[in-house]
Amino acid sequence: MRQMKLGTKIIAGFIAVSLITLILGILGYYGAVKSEGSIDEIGAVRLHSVESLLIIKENAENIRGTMRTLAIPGLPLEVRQRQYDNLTAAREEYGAAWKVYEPLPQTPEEAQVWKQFVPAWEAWRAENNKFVEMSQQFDRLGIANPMQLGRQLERFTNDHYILVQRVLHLLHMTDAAFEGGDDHTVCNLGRWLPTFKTNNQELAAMLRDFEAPHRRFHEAVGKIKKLAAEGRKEEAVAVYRTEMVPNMEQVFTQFDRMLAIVNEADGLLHKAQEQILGPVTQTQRAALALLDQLVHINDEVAEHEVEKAHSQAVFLEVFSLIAMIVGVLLAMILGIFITRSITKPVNRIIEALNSGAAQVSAASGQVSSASQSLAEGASEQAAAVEETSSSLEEMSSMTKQNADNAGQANSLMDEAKAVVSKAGQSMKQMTKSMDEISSSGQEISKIIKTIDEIAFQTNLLALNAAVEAARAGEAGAGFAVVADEVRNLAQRAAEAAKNTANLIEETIKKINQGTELVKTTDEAFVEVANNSNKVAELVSEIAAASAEQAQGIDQINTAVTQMDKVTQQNAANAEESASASEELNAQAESMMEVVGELMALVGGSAAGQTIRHTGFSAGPRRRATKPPAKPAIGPKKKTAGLEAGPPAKIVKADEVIPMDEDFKDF
Amino acid sequence: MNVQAQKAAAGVEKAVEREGKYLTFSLNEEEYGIGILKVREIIGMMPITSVPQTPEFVKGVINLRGKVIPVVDLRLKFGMPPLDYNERTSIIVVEVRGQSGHVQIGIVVDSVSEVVNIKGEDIEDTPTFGTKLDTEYILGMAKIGKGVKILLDINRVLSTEEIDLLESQS
Repeated sequence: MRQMKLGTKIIAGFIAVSLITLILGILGYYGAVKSEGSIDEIGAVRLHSVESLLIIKENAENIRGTMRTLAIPGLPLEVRQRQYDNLTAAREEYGAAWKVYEPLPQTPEEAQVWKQFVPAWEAWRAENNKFVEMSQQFDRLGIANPMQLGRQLERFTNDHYILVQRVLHLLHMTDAAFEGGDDHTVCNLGRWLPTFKTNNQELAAMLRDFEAPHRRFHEAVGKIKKLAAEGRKEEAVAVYRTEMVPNMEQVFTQFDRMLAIVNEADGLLHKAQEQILGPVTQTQRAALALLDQLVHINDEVAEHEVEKAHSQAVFLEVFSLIAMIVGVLLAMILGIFITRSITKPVNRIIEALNSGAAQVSAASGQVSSASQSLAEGASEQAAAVEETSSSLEEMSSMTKQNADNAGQANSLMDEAKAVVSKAGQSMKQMTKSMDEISSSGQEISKIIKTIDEIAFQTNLLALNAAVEAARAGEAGAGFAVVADEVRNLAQRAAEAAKNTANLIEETIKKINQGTELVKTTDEAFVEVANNSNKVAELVSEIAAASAEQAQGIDQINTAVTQMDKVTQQNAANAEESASASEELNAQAESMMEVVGELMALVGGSAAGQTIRHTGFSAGPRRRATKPPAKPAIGPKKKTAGLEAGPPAKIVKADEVIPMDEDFKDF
Repeated sequence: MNVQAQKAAAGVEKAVEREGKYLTFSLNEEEYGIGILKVREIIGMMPITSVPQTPEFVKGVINLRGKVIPVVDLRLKFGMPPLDYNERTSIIVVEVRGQSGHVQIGIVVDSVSEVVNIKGEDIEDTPTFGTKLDTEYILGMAKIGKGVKILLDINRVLSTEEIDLLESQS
C-alpha cells in the first residue's frame, strides 16, 4: 500500500467496487439463466412431450374403440369402412405426435420406459393389423352379422322342414291340411331374400340360385296341396317326388352352403373377437400402461423442474441480498481506507515542500555570491588566454619560416639532383670516348703485333741466311754480314715495335685507370645523388612536419580563441546565474504560497495557514557535495583563485523530500 | 804434370773443336746453343700433324716445302713442363746422323735468339750435378756476357732408336 502511486490507489479502489458489482451482476445473471433453463425445460420440452404423449394416448383410445366397433357384428359396411378410416386417421395423428415427441430430450428414466414402450406399441399395432386383416377378410365374406344370418337360415331351414313334414303328413294322413306354404313370397325366406344385401359375389350368386328352386318348391307345395285337396294323392305324391323333393334338396343344399359360409364368417368373427380380446387387448394394455408411465414421468419431471427453479430462485435471492450487503460494506471500507492513504502522505509532502522551499531560498543566495566570484575568475582566465594567444602567434610565424626554409632546401636539392644527373651523363660520354680510345689502341696493338711478327720472321730469315752463310763457309762471309745487318734491322724494327707496344700498353693502362676513376667518380656521384635524395626526403619531411606544426598551431590558436569566448561566456553566465538565483528566491516564496493552497485543499483553511509557518523554521540545513574539479587550461595561479571562493551548495532533491522514511508509519 | 798438361791439351783441343758459330735458342728460360752446321733451317711455328703410337715428345710431322719432317718437342724430351705454342715458338730443323745417312728432324723451341760466334776459351766443361739433362748431350757451357748458354750436341740429344723411329716417320 505504501509504495503505490496515487492514481494506482484510486484506480484500485474503483476496480474493487466494480468487481463487487460484477460479482453481483454475475450472480443475478446466473440465476436468471438458470431460471430460464428450467422454464425452457418445462415449456419447450415437458409440455410438448406431455402434449404429444396425450395425443398418442387419445389416438390409442380411439383405435381401441375402433377395434371394438369392428368386433361388433351386424354393423353395416359403411360403418365398418368408417372405422377403417378412423384407424388410418388416428394412426396419422399419433404418427405426427410421435414425430413431435421423439426428438424432444428425455430423462434417462423416460428413455428407458420409451425403449420398452416402442416395441410394446409396435406389438399392439401388429395385433391390431392382424385384427384388421381378419376384419377385412370377414368383410369380404359380406355377412354383417353371421350369427343372425345363421339363425335366420336355420329358421328358414326349419320352416321348410316343417313345411316338408306338413306336406308329408298331408300326403300320408288325412286331415292334415294346412294353410300357407305355397307362396314363396309369403315364406319367411321369400320375404327375407330381397332384403338381404351382401357384397360377397359368391354369396349373392348363391342367393340368386336360391330363388328359383325356392319358388318351385313352394309352387310344388301349392300344387300338392291343391291335389291333395282334390283327393289326387298319388299325383300329389308324384309331384312331391318330382318337383318338391329335388327343389327341396336344392334349397337345403343352398342352405347348407350358405350356412357353411356363415359359419366361416362366424368363425372369422370369433377369431377376430378372440384376437381383440386376447393379444390386442394384452398388447394394448401393456403399451397404454407404458404410455401412462411416460406421461406420469413427464409430469413428474415438469413438477421437479418447477420445484428446482423455485428453490434456485429462493437461493439466489438470499445470496444476492447478502452479497449486496457485503459489497456495500466492502466498498465503504475500501473508500475510507484509500482516502486515508492518500491524504496522509499528501500532508507529509506539503510539510517537506515547505521546508524545501525555505532551503532553496537560502541556497539561491549562496549561488548568487558564488556566481560573482565565478565572474571574477573568468575575467582573469581571459587575460591568461590573451597571453597564450600572443606566444602562439610567435610560434606560428617561426614555424612558417621553418617551412619556407625547408621548401627552399627542397628546391636546391632538386637543382643538385639535376646537376648530378648531368654530371652522370658527361661521365657516360667520357667513358664512351675512353672506350673508343681503348679500342683504337687495341687496333694499333694489332698492327704493332703484325710488325713484330714481320720483325720476327725477318729475324728468322736472317738467321737462316746466317746458317746458309756459315755452311757456305768463305763464300758466304759477305752474305753473313748482310744477314747480320738484316738481323740488326729486324731487331731495330722489333725494338721500335716493342717500344710502340709498350707505349700503347701504358696508354691503355692509363685509359683503364681513367675508366676506373670515371667509375669511382660515377659511383661517388651516385652516392651523392642518393644522399641528395635522402636529404630531399628529409627536407620534404621537415616541410610536411612544419606544415603540420603550423596547422597544429592554428588549431591551438582557434582553441585559444574559443577558450577566450567561453571564458567571456562564463562571465556572462555568472551574471545570469546571479540574476537567476534572485528569481529562484522569488519562486521559492511563491511555491510556499502554493503549498499553503494545497494544504487548504487537503485539510481545510486553518491547517493551510499553520503548516506554512512551521515549515519555514523547522527545515534542517543540509550540506551538499562539492562541485567537480575545474579544467586545467591556463596558468596554475588562476585555478587557485577560483577555488578560494565558497563552494556552491547543490541540494539534492531526495534528501529534502523524504519520501521513503515516513511511509514506515503508514 | 803430364796428366794435367795432357788434360789441358785435351781441353784446348776440345775447346778448339767446340769453337764456332752457334745458334742460340731459349727453352724454359734457359739459353741453349746448337752448332750452326747442324742447323738446316729455322722456321716459325706451323701446324703439326700428329702421328699415333709415337712417344710423347714426338709431336708429329710437318710438311716443309713438300718434305715431311718429324718434329720433336725438346721440352718434353728434356722432361720440362710443356708450354703452349705462341708466336715466338719456332721449329729448328736440324740434321742428325741416322742409319741411312742424315736425317732432318725439327725441334720445337720456345724462341730463337741469334747466331753467335763463340770462342774456345769461353766454353767450359759441364760440371756433373743432378740436372734433368744427361750431360752427354751437353758439349759445354758458354759464357756470354753475364749469362751461361748450354751448348748441346744434337746428335746425342736423341738416341739411336729414336732416330731410327723418326727416320721411319719421314
